[in-house]
Amino acid sequence: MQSSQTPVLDKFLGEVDRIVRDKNGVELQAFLVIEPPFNSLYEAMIAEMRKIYPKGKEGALEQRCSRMLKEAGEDAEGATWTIFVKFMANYLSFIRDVDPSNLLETYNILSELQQKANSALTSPSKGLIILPTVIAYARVFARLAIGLDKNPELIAHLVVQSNSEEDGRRETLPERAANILRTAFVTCLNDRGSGSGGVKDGKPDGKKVGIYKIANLCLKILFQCDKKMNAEQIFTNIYNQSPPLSIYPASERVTYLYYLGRFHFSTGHFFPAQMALQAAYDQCLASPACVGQRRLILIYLVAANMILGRFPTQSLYDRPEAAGLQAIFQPIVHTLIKGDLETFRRLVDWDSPNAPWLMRRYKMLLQIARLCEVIVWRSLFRRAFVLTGVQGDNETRKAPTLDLNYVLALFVFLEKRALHPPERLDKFGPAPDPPPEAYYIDPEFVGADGKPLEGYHANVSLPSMLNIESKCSSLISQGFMNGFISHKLKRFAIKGAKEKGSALAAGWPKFWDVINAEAPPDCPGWKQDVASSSAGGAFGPGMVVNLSNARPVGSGPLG
Amino acid sequence: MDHGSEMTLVEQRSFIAQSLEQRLHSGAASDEEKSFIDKALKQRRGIEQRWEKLKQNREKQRRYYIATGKMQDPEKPRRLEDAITLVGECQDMCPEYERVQRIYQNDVWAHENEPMSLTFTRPARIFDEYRMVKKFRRSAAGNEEQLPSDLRPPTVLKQTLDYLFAGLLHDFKLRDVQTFIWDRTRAIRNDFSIQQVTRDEDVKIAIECFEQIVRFHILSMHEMSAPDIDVPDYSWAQDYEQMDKTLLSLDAYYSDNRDKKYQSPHEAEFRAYQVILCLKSPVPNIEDVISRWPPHIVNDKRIRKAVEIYNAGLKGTKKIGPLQPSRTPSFARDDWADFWSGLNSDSYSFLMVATAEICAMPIRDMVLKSFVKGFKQGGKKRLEDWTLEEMGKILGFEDLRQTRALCLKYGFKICKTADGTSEFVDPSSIGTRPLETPDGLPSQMQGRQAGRRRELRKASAIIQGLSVLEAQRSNLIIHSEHVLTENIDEEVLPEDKPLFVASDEESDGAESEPIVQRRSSAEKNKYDRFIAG
Repeated sequence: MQSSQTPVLDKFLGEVDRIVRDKNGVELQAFLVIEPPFNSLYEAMIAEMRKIYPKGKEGALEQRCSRMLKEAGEDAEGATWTIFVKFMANYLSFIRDVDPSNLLETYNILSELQQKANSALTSPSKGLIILPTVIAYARVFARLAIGLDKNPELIAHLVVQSNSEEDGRRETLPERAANILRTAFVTCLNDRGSGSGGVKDGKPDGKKVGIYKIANLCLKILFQCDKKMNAEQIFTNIYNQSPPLSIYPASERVTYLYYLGRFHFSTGHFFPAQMALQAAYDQCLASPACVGQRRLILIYLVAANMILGRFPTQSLYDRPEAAGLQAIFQPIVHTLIKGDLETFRRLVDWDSPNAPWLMRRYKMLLQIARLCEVIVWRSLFRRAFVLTGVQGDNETRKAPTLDLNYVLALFVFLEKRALHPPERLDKFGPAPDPPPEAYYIDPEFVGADGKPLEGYHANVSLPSMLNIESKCSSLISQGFMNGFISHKLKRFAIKGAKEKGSALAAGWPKFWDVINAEAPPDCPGWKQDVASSSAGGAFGPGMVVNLSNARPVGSGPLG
Repeated sequence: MDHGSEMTLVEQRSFIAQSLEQRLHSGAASDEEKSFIDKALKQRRGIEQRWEKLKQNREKQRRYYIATGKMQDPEKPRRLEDAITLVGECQDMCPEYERVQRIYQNDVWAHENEPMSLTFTRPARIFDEYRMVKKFRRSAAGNEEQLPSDLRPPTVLKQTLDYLFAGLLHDFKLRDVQTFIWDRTRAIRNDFSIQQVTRDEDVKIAIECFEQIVRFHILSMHEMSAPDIDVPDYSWAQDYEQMDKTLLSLDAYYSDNRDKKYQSPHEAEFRAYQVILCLKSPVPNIEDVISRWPPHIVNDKRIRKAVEIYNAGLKGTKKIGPLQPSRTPSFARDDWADFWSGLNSDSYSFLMVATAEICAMPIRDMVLKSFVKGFKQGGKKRLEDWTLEEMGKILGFEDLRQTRALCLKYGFKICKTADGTSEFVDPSSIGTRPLETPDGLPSQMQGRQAGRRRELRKASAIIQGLSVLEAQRSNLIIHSEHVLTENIDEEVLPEDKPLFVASDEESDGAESEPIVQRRSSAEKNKYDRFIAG
């Protein structure tokens, strides 16, 4: 008789059946281990299977599971959970076959198991039981996918082209892995089994418990494998369907907000990036164990703020997680405040000493170079006004003005100096002409002798008056300077000096204030609390209360 | 008379044959035309039998491929890992099955005919199977599956591309063959994609082909945006779409083969286009992407130059995603003068400038918006500061008519200066409302920057990526006597869709008969190069 040949397996399946009857998801997860080494009981069971259900006998194994797992059969409402039987059969063949020394094969069979578990999760009545197992497997699965991505030689032959043929897109292994986990995430998100919209006593209910755990694993894969852009769907789904973030545990909140902030950062949205990162930083545990995490968040938080014209204080730099950051960020901040275009150029050069850190490691150099320069322009125009500006006259209604020729002279002076190594420059002398190595011509126009072909010229770009007018009009139209340009007179005229009391205050509003006033109050991807939420007190800086249901004072009752 | 689509293919063919017979015997045709008609009639005889035979063979062929494991058996499902990748066996630019099918279905495109017969009405043209190139077909449901005999291996794909770029483009104006090449390069990419090439030598060919196709599209968008061009069938959006997809595939080829033996010497060039084109992307994440490129790419000066253009041109006023609700970035450089002054210098290759031109309309929009805010003084004072010439500088136009047209489209008034010597654009003439982007702007307008850099080199030199010097050495420099096709501009539609109503042209009477242009034998010989082999 067959049952006597596999006593351990029979006992195991009986226990699983009992656990399912008890609806004990945590115990189930503890039972269905997948990582060797296995204890002796599991080894005995594996030995039985190798004998009675070796490779190729999966059908018989499934039948066996089907007979043993009575709980997966029809329940009182007539619903069955046959996919759980398939999952269990797959689990058993997984532990029978797994060979951790073969990373790719382990990934492949775990991928299959994960998908079976995901399917079992979809059952409206029983799926919840398997949620802890799904999450536990997802952790291992994510680790394997990331590991494989870091070993391209193992998966080089696996370039999977999509079926859409010539449209150029294709799915890589980490993307596919994230997509597999995303199906489990979507199941959690769409769960209707729990009452009260997924929230019970201020805590997530039903499968909604798993939303952020699984989302964070997907995000981990996508961020570590440089596929950030694929994270869009996850953020969008959460924004549309998730219960508020604040009712989830701190560790899940912090991880999620960190990824969301990074995502905004890499897509050029520094204001929402700053909001998410600030909240992540504020909610991250202060314990020494979390210093690494706090530091990572802080690096992006400081960069996002700096780009928006808000600079770190000394007390921030003094924190343990900020060690070393002052040396990197403060010199840049200094140039922004002073309008020191020359030093700014050197600091954000792709060959500067800090470039490997800022560019390769943290992927923020180019953003800083592109946007912080606007802050330098503003400070330089402001400085030019302090040095050479003509104060207005309220009596004659004459506006204060700045001669753009002075601004041009300053720009040219600093740009020219930036083309030379600093040790070759006098501190205060006139800027020498650009050195030969500063000239550039596209290789397309170079002759056989390495010189420009006739009619073409190597070039060094130095600002002209038109460039200054262009920068000036850019600053004006974005609200960083207040006034207008006279193209004929080459002067910038300041508006509103009388009202503000000083030409400087009227002409140059604070950079961050301008941005802050314009910024929409929400942060896409961050599900906020509704106004009536009982979560009170959990609001951090940058969090927004959704008041769409509120009525203006005195508008009376509805109807 | 309208024969419409009710005519069956057989009826169409017999109708065309009748028309040709009529013409042959009408006495109106010249001897030369008669000989063409005669040839055309002969070609069309027997095509039905040939087609029937090929159709019968096809099923046999299909079974053979399945039996020998060269093709997937649709009846037997397999695991994804065991899927069979098709390997092409077709040695022609167009597989015979498709050639005959398209001849049978009256779907031979203009440039698949003997060029001498292009001056005739469509039915009298002599198709030339050596000139036929596999056309693009979606592999959607309902379409026939491709057999290995329908797919061209990489070397044949490269030969086909050479025919299109070095042959066809050498002898015809780009505007006349654009739609044809657009379609056929798409089919070439599709063949590559189905075969999923992985061998080093195949990957090398694929990369070379995709690189040339990207160059073709950039050049094409530039040429087709010239002020004097009006090709009704041309679609800028489709040109852009296919360039975008080709570039996406290239991106994958480059990164997937990072550790292989073959590294394209042109990668930096195409990465530079990728950077500039990100100005059009709905998600400006290129900075993050660049930070991951290997040092030899990042250190290429062209990448830095491309970043400069990207920085100057990135608009602060466009709402961007990807997350909803989309929003404008907090701020941008919006430095239009920097954008143009860079492009005016020789620091940018022709194709880099042409790529920037693809993205330039939103920048002109930004220029005008920031112009209104920055230079409007308020009050009733009429500003005469901005003459049309000066506006041309900030809009990147050489041609004053372009400047005028664009300013008018935005609603600016253009007035004569008080002294009557020149015209100026008045920033206050749009009133107090914020400047709106008008509907119906062209997608691209040829600016002043690209012209001089292009002028010397032929299209095929640009597509091969030759520098000015290399083009001179390969004698791919434009001489004024080039251009054979002047006389058929009117006649040849860039995209020759199947067309039934031959009689309209015929019934116009003898006066409008097409005339064969006499050509020297030297010119005739030129065509011989076309024949693939």
